[in-house]
Amino acid sequence: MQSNRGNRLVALLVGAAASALVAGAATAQDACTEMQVFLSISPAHRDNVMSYIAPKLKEEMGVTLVAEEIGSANMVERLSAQMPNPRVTIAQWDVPIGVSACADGMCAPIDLSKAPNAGKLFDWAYTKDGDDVVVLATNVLGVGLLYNEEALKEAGIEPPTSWTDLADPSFAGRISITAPASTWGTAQLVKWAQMGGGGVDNIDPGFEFAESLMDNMHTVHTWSSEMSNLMQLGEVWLSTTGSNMGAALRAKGLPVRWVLPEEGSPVAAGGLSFVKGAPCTEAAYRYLDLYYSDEFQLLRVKDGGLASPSPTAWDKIPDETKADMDLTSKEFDKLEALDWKAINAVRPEWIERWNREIR
Amino acid sequence: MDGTSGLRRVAPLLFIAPVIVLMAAFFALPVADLLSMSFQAKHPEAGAGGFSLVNYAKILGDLWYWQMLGNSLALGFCATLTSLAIGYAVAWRLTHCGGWERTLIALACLLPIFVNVIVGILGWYILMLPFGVIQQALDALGLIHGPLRWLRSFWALVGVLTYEHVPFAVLILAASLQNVPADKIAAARILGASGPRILWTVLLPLSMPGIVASSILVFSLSVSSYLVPILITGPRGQFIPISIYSYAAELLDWNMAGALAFILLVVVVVLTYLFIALSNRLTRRGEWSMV
Repeated sequence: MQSNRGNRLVALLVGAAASALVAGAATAQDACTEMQVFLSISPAHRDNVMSYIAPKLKEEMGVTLVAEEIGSANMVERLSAQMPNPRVTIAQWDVPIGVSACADGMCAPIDLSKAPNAGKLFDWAYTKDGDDVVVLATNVLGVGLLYNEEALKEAGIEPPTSWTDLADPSFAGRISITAPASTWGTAQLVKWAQMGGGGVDNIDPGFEFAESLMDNMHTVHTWSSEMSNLMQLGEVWLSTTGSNMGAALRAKGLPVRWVLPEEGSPVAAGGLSFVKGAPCTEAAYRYLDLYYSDEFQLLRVKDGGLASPSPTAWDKIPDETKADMDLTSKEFDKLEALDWKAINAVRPEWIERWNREIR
Repeated sequence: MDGTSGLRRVAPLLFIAPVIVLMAAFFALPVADLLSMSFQAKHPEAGAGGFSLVNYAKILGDLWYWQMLGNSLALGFCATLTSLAIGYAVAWRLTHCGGWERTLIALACLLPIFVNVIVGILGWYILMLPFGVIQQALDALGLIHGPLRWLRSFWALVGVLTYEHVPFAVLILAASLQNVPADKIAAARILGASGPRILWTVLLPLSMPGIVASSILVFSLSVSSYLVPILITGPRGQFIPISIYSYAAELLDWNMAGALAFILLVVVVVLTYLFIALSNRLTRRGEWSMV
């Protein structure tokens, strides 16, 4: 009897302590003073977020924004290590990576009613898991060809219009292509496979096309920064990359243009997800609303060279900005959506095969 | 009395305690974790986290990984040989000169260590680009046209690793050569030994501790180097550290990355031990030991 009483007392004390801990944790959750976000590596991305969104979050909610730019795969790696108590609230990763991470249970559903600006995007900007929206597109990116206008003019070479121009002997030693370890590289590989009669189910023609480019190959790059350096050094004249790179490099004074190849261009957009179990939910919705505001989207169009997934933002883009854009909403019909769920299932095999065969 | 002797016994342990704690926290634990991950499949067929040899079977049963291991070891051997060859001559000169020459050599050895490794490598990178400074010079002389593909080659990598590691070799070898008694060299000369013979029979055996120490350092740094290969050959370089990074960061397969890392670790440790044992036997000294 005494023992039972003792046990009950201990249980009561443990219960009270646990309740206090939970209450403390809940209070900490509510009292969000700092919110961490992962940003995709993209021209002027962090600058835009820290100059436009961060001050508003601080002023309105007293929340300090901590934004870190890292690659999408690293985001998954670091969030996995933090689970089940992640410290990062928002992950802005490539849509394909986000789709895969959400399928692994890393994402919280996004309630669009809590961020009105995020609810007015083009339909294709929403990726759902069942009925829940889990990934929002943050931009529209096509994978195509970037070339150095001046270098081609000096060498008397016509600007490229097709993926097959990569194999033109005039570009001997002057091309750089993206490896499938990057999302753009994977999208480009699928496109090449489709051009040869294959696709996600038969990627061989894609590899054959890549192999046929080796005589012209200067570098196979994984990071666009490496390609940018080589363009800047005048080593590479023609490269495969995302549509935002043209405006970004022109802003640095490089005479480059991005072109959407006549065979079409695969879409590889950036995305945004809420991390499951992360703190600062209220601030996260405010961040979302600010991110998709027309004002911020126009900043991204201007500084980041990105096409916006928000139709209302498109209407407000000044004509001179539109004239300098390599990809506009008029060309959206030439962009081809890919089945990233199917691609993600076989992508590791492609990366391994690429590492072995494309040298 | 007891208290004093106990303190005397504990005192030495206190000196090495920081090293033991650091090694345990930042080497032993991570390596143990990596090892345990390497014995798990990324996508286990039955039950998550179960013991599996699938990663090791995949690596050991695939010629590609053997070739990659061969490339990494060849890189280590070549970088060690070139670093030793250059380092030995420089170290000899360093220990037999004085004044401004000694200062100049010491400065030349120390500067690359102080310069950030990326800055150092970028110099090579720009120099050896397919249309870089060397190509442009040769093109201007009419010797070649078109790109030079040196940058992405194995030998370019050996060159850069040698540049990076020669200073370490020089500093270790100089300390060792300084301890070679001058009277033994003088005695060999008086007895009529030629320069090469003095080098082979006197200098090399007596400076073997330095040779072994610098070989181990340069070899292990070169074999496990990631930064230099990724900047010089890029992700297409077929070397184990690049593959480890690819599995961990691109394919998010830490299990395979762990298995590759552990195989590399075992191979380097075994080769190092064999090298030390062989050196002991060849010099027939046994007076110095590294193990």
